[in-house]
Amino acid sequence: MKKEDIKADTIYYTTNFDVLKEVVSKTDEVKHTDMLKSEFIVRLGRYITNKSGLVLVSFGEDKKLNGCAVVSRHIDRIGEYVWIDFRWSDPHCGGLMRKFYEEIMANCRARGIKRIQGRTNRGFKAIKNLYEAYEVGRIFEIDVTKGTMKDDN
Amino acid sequence: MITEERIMEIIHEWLMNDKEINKESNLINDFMMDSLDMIELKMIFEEEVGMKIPEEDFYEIETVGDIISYLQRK
Repeated sequence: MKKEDIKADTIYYTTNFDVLKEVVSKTDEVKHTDMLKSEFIVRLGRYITNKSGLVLVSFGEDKKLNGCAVVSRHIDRIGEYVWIDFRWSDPHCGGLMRKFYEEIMANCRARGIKRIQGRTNRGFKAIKNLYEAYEVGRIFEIDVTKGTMKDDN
Repeated sequence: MITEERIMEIIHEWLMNDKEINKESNLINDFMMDSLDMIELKMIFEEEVGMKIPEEDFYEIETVGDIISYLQRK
């Protein structure tokens, strides 16, 4: 698609390398994230190669990237779900992230996928409020580099 | 009606830093707020004033002065 044909604030799906590079660069703008950029790039490559994920983008009037989301398809003990690997929107573009979530939801419905999951280190109340999301379980983490486990005695 | 002082106090508490706040302070450019931050702040003000604030209204807000004008009109 030519840049001049791009409509502002419209969600597109992309595998364009230059656009993907821009998406990766936005990981620097997300606050309080523990995601490793190098790991994200590997995952992104895998999603594109084996079609297990999608990259959604939008552009402003100036044709610059103003929003993006990377989602991937997984299976757990309940069934298929979509995982939101990464999302970013220009804070000046209020309401744009909601458009992304609505597009992701529509995509899920079209494919018969009933659940969307994501992880956040912040803003959980806002996410609950915006998307009628609810907390599912807890994630725990163990640092295996730190000595031995505690003695029970 | 919520006072200007209370609005400033809420923003100051939410920011959790010593940044100077005045009516011209831009929420995004000066305080580095992103879209989630804006929604969180909106929810705090909703609790404070006891009424829902339409998302579309809050997206029009750019400065602390805008928040003051908006909430004092309600």
